[in-house]
Amino acid sequence: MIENSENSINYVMKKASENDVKFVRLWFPDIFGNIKGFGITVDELEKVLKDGASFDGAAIFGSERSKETEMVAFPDPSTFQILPWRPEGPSVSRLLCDILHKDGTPSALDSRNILKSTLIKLKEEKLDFYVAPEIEYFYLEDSVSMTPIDDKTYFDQIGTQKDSGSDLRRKTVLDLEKMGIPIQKYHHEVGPGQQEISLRYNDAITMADNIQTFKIVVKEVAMSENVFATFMPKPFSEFEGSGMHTHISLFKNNKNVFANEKSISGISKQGEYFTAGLLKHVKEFMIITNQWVNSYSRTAASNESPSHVYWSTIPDNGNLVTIPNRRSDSEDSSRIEFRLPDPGCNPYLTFAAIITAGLKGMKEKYPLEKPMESAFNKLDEKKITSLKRSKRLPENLGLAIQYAETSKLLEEILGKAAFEVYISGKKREWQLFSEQVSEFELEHSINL
Amino acid sequence: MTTEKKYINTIRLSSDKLQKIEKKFLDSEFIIRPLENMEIFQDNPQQNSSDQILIISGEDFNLDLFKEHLKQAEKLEAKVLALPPLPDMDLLISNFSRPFFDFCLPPHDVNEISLRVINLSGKGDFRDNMLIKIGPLTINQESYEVSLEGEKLDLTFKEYELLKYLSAKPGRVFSRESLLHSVWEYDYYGGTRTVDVHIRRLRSKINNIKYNFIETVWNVGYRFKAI
Repeated sequence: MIENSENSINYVMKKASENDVKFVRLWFPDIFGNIKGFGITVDELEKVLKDGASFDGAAIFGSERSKETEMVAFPDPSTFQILPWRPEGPSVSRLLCDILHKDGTPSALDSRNILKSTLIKLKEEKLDFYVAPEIEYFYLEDSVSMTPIDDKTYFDQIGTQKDSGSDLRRKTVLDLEKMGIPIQKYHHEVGPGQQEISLRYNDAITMADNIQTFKIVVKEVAMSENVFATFMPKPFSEFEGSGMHTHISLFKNNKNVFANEKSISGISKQGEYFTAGLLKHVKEFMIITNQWVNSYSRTAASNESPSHVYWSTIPDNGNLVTIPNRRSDSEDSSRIEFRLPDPGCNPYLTFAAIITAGLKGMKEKYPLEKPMESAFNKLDEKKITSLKRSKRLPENLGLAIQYAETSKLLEEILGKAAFEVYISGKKREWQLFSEQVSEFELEHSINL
Repeated sequence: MTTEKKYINTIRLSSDKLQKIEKKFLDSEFIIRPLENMEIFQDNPQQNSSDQILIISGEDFNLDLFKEHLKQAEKLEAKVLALPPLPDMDLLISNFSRPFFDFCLPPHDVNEISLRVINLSGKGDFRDNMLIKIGPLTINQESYEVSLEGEKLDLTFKEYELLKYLSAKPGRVFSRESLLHSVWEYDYYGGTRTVDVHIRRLRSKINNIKYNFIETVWNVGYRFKAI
C-alpha cells in the first residue's frame, strides 16, 4: 500500500500556494503510453495527495475500452511541477500518478506499475539501470499540409529560411529545465524540420516520466508558436524517420557492470550477455518498442534505421545495437546503444522489455555473436540475401504480433492482464490498417 | 534580548507548587502566569507561543485532560514541561522526540522543575530551529523556502530534501548510498547515480560565481562546505 509522507504533502501544498496554483492536472499513461489525465482544483489537492482521486479506469485501456471500473489516481508528490506554458497566476500544475484499484492495490494495466515491478526484479540482483534516450521529431507548419518548417539538414546551424526551429528548440529546452528535465544536447537532424534532443541519463521510472512530459512540452511550445510537432516514427517516405536511440548502462555497487576495456566487444561479459538477451528476444518485444503500423515504415526503409538483428561498434549503419568504443578515461561511460525504439513507443513498457530481455541474457549467459563491422548496404549481394533471411526484424506490425502473441517473455514483461489487452489492441489496429486501400495500391493497380 | 521578560505559563499547577516556583523565580527574567485553560495561552497576544514555556501539570490525576493539554500544546509548537501524575513513560516517550519537550516525574521537586525550565528556555526559539542559515543561503524548514542572497530559489521536493540533509551537517561527507536511503527512503527505483543527477541540478540552482556549496569528494560522496 503506497502512502505519501506528510513532509512531501506539505511541500507540495506550500509550493502550490507560493505559485498561486489554481488547477492541478493528474497525469497517467494509458497502456500504449499516451498521457491521459484529469484536472482538480487546488482545494482538492491535499485530500488527493493523501487518498488519491477516483476516475473511470477505462481510460488506461487505451483503445481497449472494455471494462468500465472505477480506479484511483494516486499522485507522486516528487513529480509536482508548474506547467510553464500555461499562464502565470492562477497557474496550472501537474502530478504524475500511479493507478490503483479501490482497495489500494496497483493496477495490472498501469504502465508505471509494470515498470516498477521490473525494477524490483533488478533490485533483487542488486543492479541499477540507467538510461538516456536521443529523441527525434519533426516540426511541421501544421498537421495537414506536411510542410517541414525549415530546409536545414544534419547539424546545420543555418538554412535558407527564417529559422523558427532554433527558437522553438531554445524555448523548449528552457521549459523542460523548468520542469526538472535536464537536457544533454540538441541539434538539427538529417530531415528538413527534424530535430534531435538528448536527455541526460536517469533511472528508468524518472526517464519514462520525463520522456512523456518531454513530448507534451515539445508539442505545447510548438503550438504556442503555431507550429506542429510530431513524434510519428516515419512521417515522410523520402526522409529519415524519427527514432529514439536508447543508451543503456547497468551499475552494481557504484561500478559500471558493462565496463571492461580489454574485451574485444569493448564491454564486459555481463554486458555481452545483456546485449545477447536483447538480440535474441527483440522480435518478441518489437511490438513494444515499435508499436504502431507506421513504426515499421521506419525500420523497413533502406537507410540508417535498424532493420536487422546484429550489432556493431560503428554507429549509424542499420545495426540494432551499437557498442561504442568508450573513452579510456571514463569507466562510467561504458554503455550500449539500442537503436530500435521510436518516440511513439510507451517508454515505461519499452524499458521494462529492455531490462527483462537483458537480464534473461545475463542469467542464462547467452553468447554474443561477432559484430557486423561492415555496413549492411556495403555487403555483397549473396551475403545480404543470407543475412536478410535469418536476421530480418518483423517487417510489419502483423508479423510483430505473430512473434509477440506466443512469447512467454513478453507475457512475463507485461503480466497476463496487460499482455492480453495490449495484443488485442494491436490486432485491432493491424486489422483496421489491412482493410485500408492505400495510395500506393491505387497508383500501382488502378490500371489493372 | 536578555532583558526581555519571559513567561512561564502554568496549566492546572497546584497552588502549593505555584507559590514555591514563584518564589524561586522572584527577581528573575521570568514571570509566572497561571492560566485557566489552554485557550488563554493560545489567544495570548503578547508573544508567539514558542517564546514561552508551558508547564502542564497532571497532579490532580485527571489523565484525560492532561493528555488533551499535551496534544494541544504540540499543535502550538510551545516549549512544554510536563508533570505527569504517574511515572508513565509510554505517555511521555510519544512526546519526547520533539526538541522542546521535557518532563519531571513525581514527586515534582521544585528545584528540578526550575532547572528544567531554565534549560528549556535556553534552547532558543522554535522558529530559529526551523531556519538553517549558511552564509548567503537560507533554508526555511517551516515554509519549505530556500533563498540565496535573499532571492527565492525554485527547487523540486527531492532537491529541497537533499539540500536540507546535506546542509544540516556542513563539512560532513555523505556517501551516495546514505543520501539515497535518507532522502529517497524506500520509494526509489534508481541507484546511486540518481543522487548524482539531483546533485548536478541542485548545484546549478544554488551555486553561483561566488559560492560553491556542494563539493564532490572523489570516491566517497558529497559534502556541504562549512562556511
